[in-house]
Amino acid sequence: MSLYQQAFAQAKAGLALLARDGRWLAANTALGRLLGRDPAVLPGEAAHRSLFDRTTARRIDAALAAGESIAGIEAEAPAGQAWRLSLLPLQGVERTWLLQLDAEEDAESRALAARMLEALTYGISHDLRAPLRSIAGFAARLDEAGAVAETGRADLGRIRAAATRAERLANGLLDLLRAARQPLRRDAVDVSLLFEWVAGELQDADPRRAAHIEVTPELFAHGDEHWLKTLFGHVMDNAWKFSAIRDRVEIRVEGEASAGRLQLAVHDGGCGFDMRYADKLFVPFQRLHGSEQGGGNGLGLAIAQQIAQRHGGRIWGTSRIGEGSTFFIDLPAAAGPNGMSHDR
Amino acid sequence: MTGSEILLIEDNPDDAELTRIAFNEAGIDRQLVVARDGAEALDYLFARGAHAGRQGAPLPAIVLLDLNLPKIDGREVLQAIRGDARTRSLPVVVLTTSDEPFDVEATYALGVNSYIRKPVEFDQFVGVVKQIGLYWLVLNQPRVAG
Repeated sequence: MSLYQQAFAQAKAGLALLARDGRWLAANTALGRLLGRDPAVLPGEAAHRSLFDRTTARRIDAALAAGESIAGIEAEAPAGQAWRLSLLPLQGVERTWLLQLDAEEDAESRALAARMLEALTYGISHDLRAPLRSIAGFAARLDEAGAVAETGRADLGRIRAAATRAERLANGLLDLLRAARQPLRRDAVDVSLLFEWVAGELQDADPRRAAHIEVTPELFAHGDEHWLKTLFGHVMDNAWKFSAIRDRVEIRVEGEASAGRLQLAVHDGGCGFDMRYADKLFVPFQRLHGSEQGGGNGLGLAIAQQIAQRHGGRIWGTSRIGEGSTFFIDLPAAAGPNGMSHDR
Repeated sequence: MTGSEILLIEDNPDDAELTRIAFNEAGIDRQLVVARDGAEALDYLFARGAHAGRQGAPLPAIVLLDLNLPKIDGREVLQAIRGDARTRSLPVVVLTTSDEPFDVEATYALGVNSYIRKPVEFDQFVGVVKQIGLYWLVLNQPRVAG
């Protein structure tokens, strides 16, 4: 038995591997225990169709067919027990999904957590922004009214800038919370157009900056247009910001569709990051660059990863310090308009 | 009958003051009446209670409504305005801090004319107020009979 097989067999979570047609390829001991079955008899057929309620079984089949993931839904067994179920396409292995089943937490404490999260979102959206507006507004007023001596104007400038940063932070937190919870639409999305759009916005915000941004045309993904634009926006924003050391911003967006997946690569020629800290890139508030190097609020890539994962996809980055970075994004592919497929 | 004043329903005195300054800076010199909560706003609009003396006075040209208000909140104010024949076609613009999709959805369902989020940045806020003024007080043709 290989190391990985051993790890799979002994894992505490109930795990199974599924093929795209629904067939179960393997199941571990913990899953057998949760389901009250011998894990050795589960592989071979589409076992989920007899183990779970109909809605859940259909959802699994639909996700397999569409190449998507399922993130922590409640599944019911005919005998009435409830489990938490997720399904993820295995990265790097074609047409194989990992199904995970955990005993359901107490429904009441989950509802409470959901309500707290809702209150938190609302608090940031409303109650935190209101005092920030007072700070920004009255500081601007003092500044414009000339009520403050020259010596104090630099301090006013700092107050105004801090209020703006705090607002961006509040917006970032809201995006992170919403990216995790808001229902996603699923449509064919013109990825190339979204990248061109984001590129236009970056240039508009900094019109004097010399930039060359190249986007491979006719790339299509299956997903939520608003959130995918947010995802691409954060990746492009980083590429732009961390190119500050160059005379010219150079960004290249490439993509390729195969086997139902769209693989995107965003290359920049910026300052790069230290690969030793690559695992911190996507953790909220973990920054690899100080603000003088263009570092932001430490939420952009966390939001980007949340969106990629909600789409059943993935994002990762590689870099060489001083030479630039490449961020890879894997998403479910879609046919273009009028069913014109990109991988002709 | 529609008058020329602006009714601002806002419980946060800072926000009320900033809105007043923003209207000034935007060059809109209409009278700004501020109601501190939903109950006071409805008394003003329907000439009741402390505002009984307004009987027969014209309605404001536009109502700017914050959503989170003490006593009667913004959604209920909107419901009361849309539920009464006298105020049914009064232009109501929600001007609030939140951009929660739930709030946006719910207030449009209650018949708001427009939903605008107050920006934190003051220059942007002045810009927003200027556009509200231009659209609702200059371009928009109000219904003549209430």
